[in-house]
Amino acid sequence: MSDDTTPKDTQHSLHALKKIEIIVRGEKEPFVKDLLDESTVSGYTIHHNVTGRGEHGFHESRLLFNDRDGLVMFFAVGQQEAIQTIVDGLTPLFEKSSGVMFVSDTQVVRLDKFLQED
Amino acid sequence: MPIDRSVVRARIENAAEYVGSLWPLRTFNATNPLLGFEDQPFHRAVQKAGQLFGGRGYPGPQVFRQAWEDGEIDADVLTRCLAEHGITERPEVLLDRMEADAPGHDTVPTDHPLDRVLTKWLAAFLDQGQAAWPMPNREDGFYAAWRTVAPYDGAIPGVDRPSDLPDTVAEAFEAVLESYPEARWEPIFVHHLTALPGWTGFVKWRSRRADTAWQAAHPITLAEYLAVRLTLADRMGAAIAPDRTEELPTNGTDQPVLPRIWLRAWEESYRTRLLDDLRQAPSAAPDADRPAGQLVFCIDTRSEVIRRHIEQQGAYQTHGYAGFFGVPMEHQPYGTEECVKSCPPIVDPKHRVVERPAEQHQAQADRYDWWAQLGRAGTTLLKTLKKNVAAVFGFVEESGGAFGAAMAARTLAPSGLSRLAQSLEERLPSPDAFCEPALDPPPAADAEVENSLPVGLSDEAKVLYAEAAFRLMGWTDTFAPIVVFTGHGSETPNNPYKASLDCGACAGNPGGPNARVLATICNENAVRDALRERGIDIPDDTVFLAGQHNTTTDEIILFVDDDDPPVAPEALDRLRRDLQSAQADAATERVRTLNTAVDEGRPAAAVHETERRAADWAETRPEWGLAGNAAFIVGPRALTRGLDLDGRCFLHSYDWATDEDGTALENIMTGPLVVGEWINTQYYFSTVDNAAYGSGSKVTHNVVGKLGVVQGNGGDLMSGLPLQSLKADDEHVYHRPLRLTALVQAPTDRIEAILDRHAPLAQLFDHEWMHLTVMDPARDDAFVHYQSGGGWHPHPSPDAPTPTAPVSAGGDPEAMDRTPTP
Amino acid sequence: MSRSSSWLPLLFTRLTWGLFALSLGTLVWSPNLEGAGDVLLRVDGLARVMALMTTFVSGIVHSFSRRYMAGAKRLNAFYGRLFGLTLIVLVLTAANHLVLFAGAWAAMGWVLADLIGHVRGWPQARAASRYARQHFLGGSVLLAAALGLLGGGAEAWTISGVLAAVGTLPTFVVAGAAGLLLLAAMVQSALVPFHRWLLSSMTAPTPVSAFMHAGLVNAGGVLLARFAPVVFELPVVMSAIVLVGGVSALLGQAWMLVQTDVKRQLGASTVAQMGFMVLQCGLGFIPAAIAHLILHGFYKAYLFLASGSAVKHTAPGRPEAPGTGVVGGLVTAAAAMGGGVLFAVLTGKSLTALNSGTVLTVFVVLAVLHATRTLVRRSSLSRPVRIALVPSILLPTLALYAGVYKGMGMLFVDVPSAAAPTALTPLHAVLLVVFGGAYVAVERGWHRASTRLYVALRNTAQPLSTTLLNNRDQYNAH
Repeated sequence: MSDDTTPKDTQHSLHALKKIEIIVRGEKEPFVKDLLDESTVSGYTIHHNVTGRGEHGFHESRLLFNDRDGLVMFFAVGQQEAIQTIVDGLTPLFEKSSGVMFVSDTQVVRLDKFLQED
Repeated sequence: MPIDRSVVRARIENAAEYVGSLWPLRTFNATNPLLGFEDQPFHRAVQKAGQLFGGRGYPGPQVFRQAWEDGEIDADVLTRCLAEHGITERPEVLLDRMEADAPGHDTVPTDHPLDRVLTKWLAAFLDQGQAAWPMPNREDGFYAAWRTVAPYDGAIPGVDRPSDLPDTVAEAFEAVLESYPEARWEPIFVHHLTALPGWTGFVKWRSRRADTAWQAAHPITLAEYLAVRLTLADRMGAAIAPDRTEELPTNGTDQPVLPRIWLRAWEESYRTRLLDDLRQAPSAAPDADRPAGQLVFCIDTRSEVIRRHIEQQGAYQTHGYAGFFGVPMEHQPYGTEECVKSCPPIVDPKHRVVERPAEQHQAQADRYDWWAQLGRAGTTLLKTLKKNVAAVFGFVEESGGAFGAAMAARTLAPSGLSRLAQSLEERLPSPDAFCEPALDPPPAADAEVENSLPVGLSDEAKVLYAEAAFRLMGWTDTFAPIVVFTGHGSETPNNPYKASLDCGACAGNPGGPNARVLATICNENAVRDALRERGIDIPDDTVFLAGQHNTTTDEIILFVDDDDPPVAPEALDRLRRDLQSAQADAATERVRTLNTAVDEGRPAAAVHETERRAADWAETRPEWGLAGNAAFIVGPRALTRGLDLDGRCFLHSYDWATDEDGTALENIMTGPLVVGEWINTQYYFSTVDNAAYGSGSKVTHNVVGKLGVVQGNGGDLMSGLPLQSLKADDEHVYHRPLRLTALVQAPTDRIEAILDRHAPLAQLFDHEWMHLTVMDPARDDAFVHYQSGGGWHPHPSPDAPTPTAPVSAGGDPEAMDRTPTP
Repeated sequence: MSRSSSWLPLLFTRLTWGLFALSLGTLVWSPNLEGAGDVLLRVDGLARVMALMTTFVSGIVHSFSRRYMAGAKRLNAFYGRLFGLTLIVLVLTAANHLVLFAGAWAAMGWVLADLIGHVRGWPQARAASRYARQHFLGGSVLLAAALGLLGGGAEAWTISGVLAAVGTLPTFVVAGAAGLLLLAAMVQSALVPFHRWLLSSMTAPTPVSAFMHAGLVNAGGVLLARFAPVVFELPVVMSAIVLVGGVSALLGQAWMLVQTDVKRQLGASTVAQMGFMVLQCGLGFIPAAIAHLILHGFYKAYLFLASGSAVKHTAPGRPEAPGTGVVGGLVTAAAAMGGGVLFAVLTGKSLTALNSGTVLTVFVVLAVLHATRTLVRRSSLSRPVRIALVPSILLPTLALYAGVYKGMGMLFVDVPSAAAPTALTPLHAVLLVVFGGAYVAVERGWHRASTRLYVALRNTAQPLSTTLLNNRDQYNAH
């Protein structure tokens, strides 16, 4: 909670960024992970066991003995260009595999958390 | 033009769908070689795969002829199926025609310089310890390592130094793909990935298992492989893009129509006989008394035989459950650094279980360690002497005599030698006896060290796995004083395919360790209390034991400390005696199916014969594995008890009456049933085309890199099962290539709800990768067949003289194509 | 389930073991073929030893195949050829008539090539078979030319007649014949540069490979042994044999280092071992060479038959072995010296007089040295165990080898020029330096610095390209 930065930096000013949500079959989790790892987003969140209905039918994830067919949801925030790279990588994928992605505007307080140092 | 790396990567990912992952033989996993085609109807998929791999999709005419002559294809069923397609000729005429239409084979060996250079470097890069001097610079990855050897490889023109080649994978793609629009990339990748499907399948497996030590040390991905291949193709003047469009003809249904109809007729004939048998099953008398023992076996088809014979011994009940006993774990055997995945291919391990010596047995463990060290020193000595440039010549002379004696003993007296080895081993402590699986999580500090999976199981996990086992089996009351969880494993020396005979649910390992884990869990008081709260009341006098079924000899060993048995010694003795009689009966039944001349009247001779097979280094058919598998029955044992199912059925215990919300069935159908389908399709495709989807005859196998086999001098890695696992001899199949029939006893609406929730599962039935028949308790246990695309079709009652015409099954091919395609 | 069963495999197996029993019998009682028989066949020590060895390995291969090849197509043809090959080898080793010898040689190559392509309907196997057959035909022509030269020069039709006349033949005849014989032996034993047929022969069923590597490649050594008086006549030929053998021994072993599949690795090892065996001939020690080919035969046949065991779990990287330390070093040196002395004493070699026999002893010393070093560095074993292991492993193995070696010597009393140690020449010194250097280089890992060497080794040991199954679709074997 307390760090060396001056209190001014923790003012509640909001910064505009893009948010991407991706839902794919468990089988494609490594692919999306690699894509995100290589993009310039600084981090991401994964939810396993996502349930839902899509154009390819219902997917149920609370399975004991099948980690392949369940749904996985990724959630990442970054700058426009970073998110664009991810979109470029997923667009061809969804030509063949089922899955969806949503990109939306979002705002964050601590911008430095979402920018990767180069 | 700079190309977008993430687009290339996605295109490769898409293209890679056409290549099936290939596991290393050590952890052989059954998988559908056409897994990536399951989103297409079966007949389309095999046609497309045939274009890509040259593989046949249906049994050949001689297989149908054999089935026809053996009476396995019902004449009425066949006639009806043919008539639906307007074919009225006699079956014999059609067999002759299919034979005449069979395509001829290449007789001139072809040389593909591109493939030749690639297999040479793939074998070098992927080697897991065969070569004493491995390929240099492997730690930099495949592309970089290849780049440093390429200048010295005369087969690659115009490369004098590494800098003549693109620096990185990305630059390599740029150089080659520049002149092609993005739309062409995927066909290009498919073309090159399917050229050596064995090696690319292995690369695909390895790149997705980044946690393996070899992948961490020597990284390779399909992208690196393609970068090398495309660069090479460019330099060697080979085609980059496929010369013709590999798209399917729009109406791709006319070609293999005869084999397709014959296969359907064969499957229906089998199904009809199975259902007739089930109808005639001896009505199961309700078990009035508490059984003396209950044994839980893997769903594996081999369990059916031994279960039947154990039940015949007396007051025993048996159940079927996935052979990893629902514990998704990685197992570290005692005295090894090796951590083996011990759960099905579609499940990720979530725990690591380490074998530790029990405190009271530390002295035995120390003695074992001493001998094990000595053994390892001997192995190292042999290895280093064999490979030493100068010392080997003297070594060969000094050791030749011993090798000659060993060769004579192993060839002329395999049984005697194995008995000798066994009696020597019995003098040594065995880890099975002095170790127990460590289940309790270690203190947090230790857990940090084992950086990957959590070691041991939490209390919640223990209760979860115990409850799941009993719920899925529909087994919530009547517990015998002894309950045995019985894993299984094979015993066969000098056999690269040993893992294919082990437990498929344990990733090609013996299932004993998983059985021990579940037994240990179920013996814990806290777990029993928790189960009791959930309505599963296990009496205090019930003891859970673990055992392992040796599928080669049908012997069942129990993991029991005989110095301190957890049950009364008399009860244990009785159990062991009964298991021994069951072994003799089962072995007698099984030796009849093996190429052997054993006096069938003498069970001792049968047991002796199976023991010889388990010890013989010259034996290519130690046992039949899961060959013959054709059906997957989900229901209580009462449905099948007393029936001889000929070792062809997976049996999963299930009771629809105790599973009101269908959760248990849902887990069975999305888990074990899917694994059953993988196994079945592997046997199917390995049989119908043993060259393209199987691994050919064992007699010319050559183990490469300690991980796989090639045929003869080398080339592409072979995948799937060898001929000797499938055929009685070179010309007659033993495994009948039928797609799996799933038979479930449950209300149809419950199954519809499950299919509705699981599109990938429904797809398997809609696209006819397997068939579904339901025994509907809501309709007085009548059989109904699932229709591709939805809906049910009643099974003709045995009294009806002519079967009612099916609505659309096997009928108009276009009708099948109207199924919702994901 | 077997639909067709035949009694032929069983019959041939029993017959082979019967021949083995007969061969064993000839060690005690040797038939003395009088008159016409002597012109055709002459059963001397070499013939008896080779008959015993061949029928033993052949018997094992017959028995092994009864289970291994069960259900294979053309099983009778397989057994017929296997048994036929055994008979041919027996005739070859006992043949006295030049035409019979040459005929048996050619027939051996023909049948062996046929077995390499046993799996019909597999284009790659046929290509390998054709390739081997070309080599064998070439080798047979070379042999026929050599025999023609000798027979013509000596005006004799039997081997015994020719050998008796060697001293009277003009040098160019002896030199020419010796050169041709050496070339024929090199082809048969797959020595560099004729190694490629062997490295392309893995299309043969495993038992055939076992028989081939344990029996048939040895014919090169038998040829040199049979015609020892011819090849030993000229020192320059002896030096050539040493050179040819040394090159194959070193190169074969180097090829072995880079092979990634088990059978080609064994094949490269055979090239090396055959090189060493021929080298022993060149040193003038026929009994040593025959002892080597027999012991190597057991070793290699075992490893081929066990080649299915190569699938293993392994981990990348190797932990650096700790040094041997002073005590370990002393033990190692003492054991190596002791091993050498023991071998020399047991085999009756002089410890002081240096001749080509010293070279043989050095190779024994190297093996003992390496074994001891490996054991002593094994830090996971307690020191007393390590020290105790050294003699308990080395003594029996050395004694066994010396026993076989001595046995050969005793059996070969009736074989002309069986043992003819030569004086040490600079070539021998170079040989020892090269092998000693190679030992140190490999132990230190110096070779790993050269990527060029690695690629060269990998490329020069490639099988014929048309024998590689890159397109699995073409494997229509069954």
